[in-house]
Amino acid sequence: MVEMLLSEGAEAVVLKERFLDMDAVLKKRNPKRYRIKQLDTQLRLRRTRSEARIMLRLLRGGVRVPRLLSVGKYTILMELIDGVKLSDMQRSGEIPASALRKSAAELARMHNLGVAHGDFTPANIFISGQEVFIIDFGLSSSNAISEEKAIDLLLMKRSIKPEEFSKFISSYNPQGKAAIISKLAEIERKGRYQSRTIDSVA
Amino acid sequence: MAVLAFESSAHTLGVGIVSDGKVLANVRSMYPITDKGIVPTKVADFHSSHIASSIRRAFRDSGLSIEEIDAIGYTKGPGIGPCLSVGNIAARALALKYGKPVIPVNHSVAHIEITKHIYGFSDPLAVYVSGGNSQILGMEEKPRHYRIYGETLDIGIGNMLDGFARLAGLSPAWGSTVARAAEGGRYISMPYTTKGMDFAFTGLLTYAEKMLSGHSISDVAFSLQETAFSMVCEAAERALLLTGRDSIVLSGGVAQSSRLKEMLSSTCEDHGISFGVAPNEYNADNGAMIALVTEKMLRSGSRFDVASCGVDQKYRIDRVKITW
Repeated sequence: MVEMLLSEGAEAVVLKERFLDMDAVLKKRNPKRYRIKQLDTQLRLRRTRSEARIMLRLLRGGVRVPRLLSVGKYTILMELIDGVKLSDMQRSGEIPASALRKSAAELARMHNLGVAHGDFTPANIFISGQEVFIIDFGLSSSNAISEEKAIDLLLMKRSIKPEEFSKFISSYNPQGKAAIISKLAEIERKGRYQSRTIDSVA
Repeated sequence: MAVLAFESSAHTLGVGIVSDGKVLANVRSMYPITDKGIVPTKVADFHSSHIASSIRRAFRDSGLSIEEIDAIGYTKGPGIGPCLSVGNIAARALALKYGKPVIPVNHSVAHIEITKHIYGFSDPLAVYVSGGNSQILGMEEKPRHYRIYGETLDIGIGNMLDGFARLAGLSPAWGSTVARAAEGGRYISMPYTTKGMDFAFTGLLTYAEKMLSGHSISDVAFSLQETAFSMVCEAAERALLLTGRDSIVLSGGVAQSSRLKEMLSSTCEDHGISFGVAPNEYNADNGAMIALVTEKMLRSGSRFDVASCGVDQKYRIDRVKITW
């Protein structure tokens, strides 16, 4: 089987594969040499299971995420989304309002199911035809508290233009929106998220 | 060109002399830490009573005299207020008396810069781990500064290890003692807290404290160390892949850990990039690194009004404009 490396992350590699007669994506958590074996296998196993469970929960809840084809000990085989990354669209100009609206609706649906994405940036949003798909649940958490949901908003806010974010946020209508938005404001008041003034040197 | 500089941000008083990038003197005295940890005013007293003799020794070691010094640097922060003040006062007093420019230096910048200097790396990813700080950083332009890609969400990794040493009754209470206790230990599963490129240590420390009843100190120390260091390595690897650099430097007090060096250097090997970690005398707090940055700042034209040179306990590295 010919595998093609699509991306390499800190905890997994993503390969393009053929599954039956369709294109598929294999996410594989390889061992890390820096970790002792017990810790390494435990983490890889736990994360693979958690990611697969979360994807399944989202699929059942109607959120647009890649369909699961097969789950192994350290591998998840899923459907390949044929589309354009929002981050690539961003580089070549403005993000269309419809893409922002649909991404916000998917995020709200996800949050209603108790899932926070954990890395909700334009690099993890695919536009495929008229549809929006969310990918990469390696950092996601289920039973998320409002702070984790607010972090999803914060990451998006810091990745797109202010006018794009206001379009995004007006289509983001989950349960408990007010609490999440006020949590976002609270997080932004923390020192590490404030824009810094670099000391001028005389 | 030659500069003199003081480091007094925590338990170590350092006096360094650097000339054209070469370390001519690196005098260090460390406050003897007991099981009570650092008492700020007592450490400040220790520094005050040692600074005059340290300066004399630095001049003796370097063979230079005050007349040959072009500027005097000191650690502005981050650090412990009363301790920082000792270096600050010494620098300003000498600067006024001998008519030399005074240069305030960021402690974290100095730790990273000395490692870069030793290895000749131009744009590495920096893993900076010490008592109070734990950050993954890299240089960014416009304006040129160190950007923090990830950092501890609560306490520094060194303080976590020191805290564990105290709870476990290990003496002296610091990381190298924990490392010795960890030898031959067996792994117990512990909370592993990373969030993207950030990490957190208090939950791990609390858990390790609980594990002390029912497990040997050795097993707990081993598991604590493996878990904490793995979290840092994972965050570093993520930052490496996101920012695409060709080298990593490991700096700061905890960079003296041979286990952490081994782990991070294996990550670098796997990615085919260079790895740099300074000899221990430059990873422990020292005056030479402050002098090195003082000279870089002086050369690049930075000048400061003596009256406005103070200390800043929370002087974040990402506020510093890099002028060289």
